[in-house]
Amino acid sequence: MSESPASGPGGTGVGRSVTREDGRVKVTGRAEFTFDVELPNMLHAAFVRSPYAHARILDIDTSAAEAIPGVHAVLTQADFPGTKFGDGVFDQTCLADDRVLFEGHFVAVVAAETKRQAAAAVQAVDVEYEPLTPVVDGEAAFSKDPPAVVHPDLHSYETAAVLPPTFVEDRPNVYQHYTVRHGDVEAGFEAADRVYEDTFRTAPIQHAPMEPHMAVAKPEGDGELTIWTSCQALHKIRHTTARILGKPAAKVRVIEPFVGGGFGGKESPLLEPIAGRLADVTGRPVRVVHSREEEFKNATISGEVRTTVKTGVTEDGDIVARKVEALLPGGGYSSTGFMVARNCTFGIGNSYSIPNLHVDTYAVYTNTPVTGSYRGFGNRQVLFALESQLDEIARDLDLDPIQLRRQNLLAEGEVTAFNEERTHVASGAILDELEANLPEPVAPEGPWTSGVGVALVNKYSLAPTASSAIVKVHPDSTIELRYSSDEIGQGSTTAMSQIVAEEFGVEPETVEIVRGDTAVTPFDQGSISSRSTFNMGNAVKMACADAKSELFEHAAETLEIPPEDLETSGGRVYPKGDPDAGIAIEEVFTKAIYESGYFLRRGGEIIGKDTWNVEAGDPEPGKIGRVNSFYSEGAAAVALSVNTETGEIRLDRLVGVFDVGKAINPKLVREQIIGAFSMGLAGALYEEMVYDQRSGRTVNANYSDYKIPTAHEHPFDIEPIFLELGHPEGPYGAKGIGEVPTVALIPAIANAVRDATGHRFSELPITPEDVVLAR
Amino acid sequence: MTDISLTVNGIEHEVDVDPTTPLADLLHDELGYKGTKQSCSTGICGACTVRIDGQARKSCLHMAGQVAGAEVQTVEGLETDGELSPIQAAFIDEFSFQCGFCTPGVLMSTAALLDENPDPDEDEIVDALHGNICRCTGYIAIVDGVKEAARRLQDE
Repeated sequence: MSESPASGPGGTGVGRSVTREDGRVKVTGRAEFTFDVELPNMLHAAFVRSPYAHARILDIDTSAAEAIPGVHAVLTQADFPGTKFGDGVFDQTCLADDRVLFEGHFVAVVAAETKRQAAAAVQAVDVEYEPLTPVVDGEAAFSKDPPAVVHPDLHSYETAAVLPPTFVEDRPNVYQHYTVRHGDVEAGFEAADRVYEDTFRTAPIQHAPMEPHMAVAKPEGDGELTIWTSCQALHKIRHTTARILGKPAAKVRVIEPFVGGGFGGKESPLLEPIAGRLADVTGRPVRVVHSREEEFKNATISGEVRTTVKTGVTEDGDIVARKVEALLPGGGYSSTGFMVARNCTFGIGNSYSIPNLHVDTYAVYTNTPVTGSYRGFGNRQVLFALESQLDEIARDLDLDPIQLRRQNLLAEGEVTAFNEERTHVASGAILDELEANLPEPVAPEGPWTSGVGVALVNKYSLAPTASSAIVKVHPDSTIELRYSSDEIGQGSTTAMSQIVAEEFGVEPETVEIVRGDTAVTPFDQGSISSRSTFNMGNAVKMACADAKSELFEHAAETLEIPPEDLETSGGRVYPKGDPDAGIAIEEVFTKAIYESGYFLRRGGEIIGKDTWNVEAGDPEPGKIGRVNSFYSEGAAAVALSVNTETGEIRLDRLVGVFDVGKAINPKLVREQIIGAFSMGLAGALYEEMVYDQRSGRTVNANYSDYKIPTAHEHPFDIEPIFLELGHPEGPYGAKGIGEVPTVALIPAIANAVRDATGHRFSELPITPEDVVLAR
Repeated sequence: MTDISLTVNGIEHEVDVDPTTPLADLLHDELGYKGTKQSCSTGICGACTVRIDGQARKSCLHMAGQVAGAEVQTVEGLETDGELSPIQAAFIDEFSFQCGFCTPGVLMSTAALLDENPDPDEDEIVDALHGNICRCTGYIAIVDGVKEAARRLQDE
């Protein structure tokens, strides 16, 4: 382990496992979630949902529903005229437009005095449908002559200005075709000693945050709205909601209380504009909540991915060529799915050096729930395929799986297939650490066989991207941080208060946090893509520096010492190295008459602010450029046992090794790794959304039929190991950890099952039934 | 509507309520015990777990009419005079939560377990918590929190 870059001057905040800033409110039930927002005269909403996966809406008769006592509004898409929205393709409407595009699609929404009145009114809305053939299967949707074209006007839709998707002229359901071309793969395959080609499939799964999507909107008069929402990209939600409602962004204030889980599922607007329009129309606060069934069908999910990978290697195990083709059946709207199809390719080219690499990914519309971002952002699905195949290659060549990976590693400073020069590559150190900590297989007993599997992965963090922060110094020496990172449980509030504490030499628990309110907290891209520690951490550090320089200028006048010679800690400003000689922060301010408090003689307030901005994109052909913010690298090893009679898979020991650059809070890092592993094993062994292939209906949209591991299913022997190799651009060297363990664990489990059973499972989840049937 | 009386955290409440209202709604929406969450409303996830006459129960499955005269304890009832219970303090120290939405239910299952079995082993803890889904933590920090809480309660 190398020494991490120097910490700040105070040494009070960074690198300590301080307990969570939100601890007391969360264990007492006082933490406010959007679920808990209750306003006087608040109305309750309920949705009319389509029973068909694909149908034309011929007529919607709302008159009987409107006549029910207590009903204040029944809205259809006609009440949201003109504006389609989306993350890359503007294909989406708040409610179904002229057709429903998946089963459960919202057709109308009711607002009433009580939940029961709203539910009764939903039953009274009369919708006349003309059923259409749905396209459920991804291959069918991808064809040049699909059974249904989900968006016939796709090629005339507006697209996003930054990183827009690419369509395919003669494949009408394709909304993103992303390509990577590096070297000459056909020549590479010619030169290879052995060529392997395999196809893998990952199932559609749902984030299932414990708090489903919900929003409460309150009309403020003059067309202004305040919206409380459970989301993970506050400013994006505000910007898009305002656009959909035809309001200036300044007229829409979005407040984000604590969020009951995100995992990638809450980064696009969904219920906010609906709540907003209902509040506008009724003049009353309105609460809009997803039921659990609606959360499965109407929130974004992580879609199925079918990946075909062809790899050419030498007898010695050097990878000489690779061709990857992935199909991403995407659901009724493109949402962030267009970006998943682009960014899932990064994992393919950022662990190994592959001289000839061709990748084609296709995202296609289907009449199934909308797909988009999910912990791992496509890399989870694609790297399951690649790391599974690499395990087979190691077996075929009789090579140690760690050695095979090590000899193919990307070199420091190497230019990748994405025309990016990769520096501070950590995978070699990670493999060394993993090898030193490999779990032993449990001795086979009775019907149980055992095995060990490993995998090496990476997860980019997106760019271009930006975070801003504001730091205010109060007369009583309290340091206040205003920022918009979404606290979805990961603990960023704690980490950011530690950074402020470090910079000002104070204790983290004294830092005042003002978070998640577009009226007062500045832009952030969101708590997505493992990005907050790296990006917001830098913004907070920079805002602290700005605030300190302002503080020192004011203090310099009193102390008659140049500002550059001053330092602060413990609520005092003093000449560097001489804390006794200085003044309390209070003395920088002036006392007002009548015991009114303090003011600053000039400048209004001591407010530091700054922006951390990473510029990046697809480099122009032939040029080297920056593609992403940073890369999280890591590896997992799994020892497991398989019951050959029942098919049960028992996870005996999980080990993970990840480079976090620098742990701002080591205990929070451990918890992120274990939590991300938890989602990984759920995706590997348990979870699958099942669609009826004929009707397109989701048949298991509830917690009974969609299995989320409980404590009974969960392994308890997990060893999270993290390296602190220091990223030169990260705050104190830190980078993100939220996603990469999920990506790493899944292929490690699949490879361990292969080791235990002798059978390669190419589809997820791997269930006991699969194991029994494969005997 | 029916007049129902019940005790919540030692305070007696008289409510005029539809007796088929789920207890979870009654507590959260009518009586202001906002700590009681709901995630599935079908008795699977355990976010709404409260104690009814001492037993850990899913309050979305109990109708108001069924709890007339009952003693209910919610997460708000764990503190004593503003002081955290050893269970709550242990959960903070062991980082036994992330997003916190399942936490009130987990705490109530834990409180019921430790009242009945002050020194549970890991299997007993897992059995007591298997009706509480947590999507964030992977349960390890939760089980550590329960073990630590048991230690602290025994030291008292």
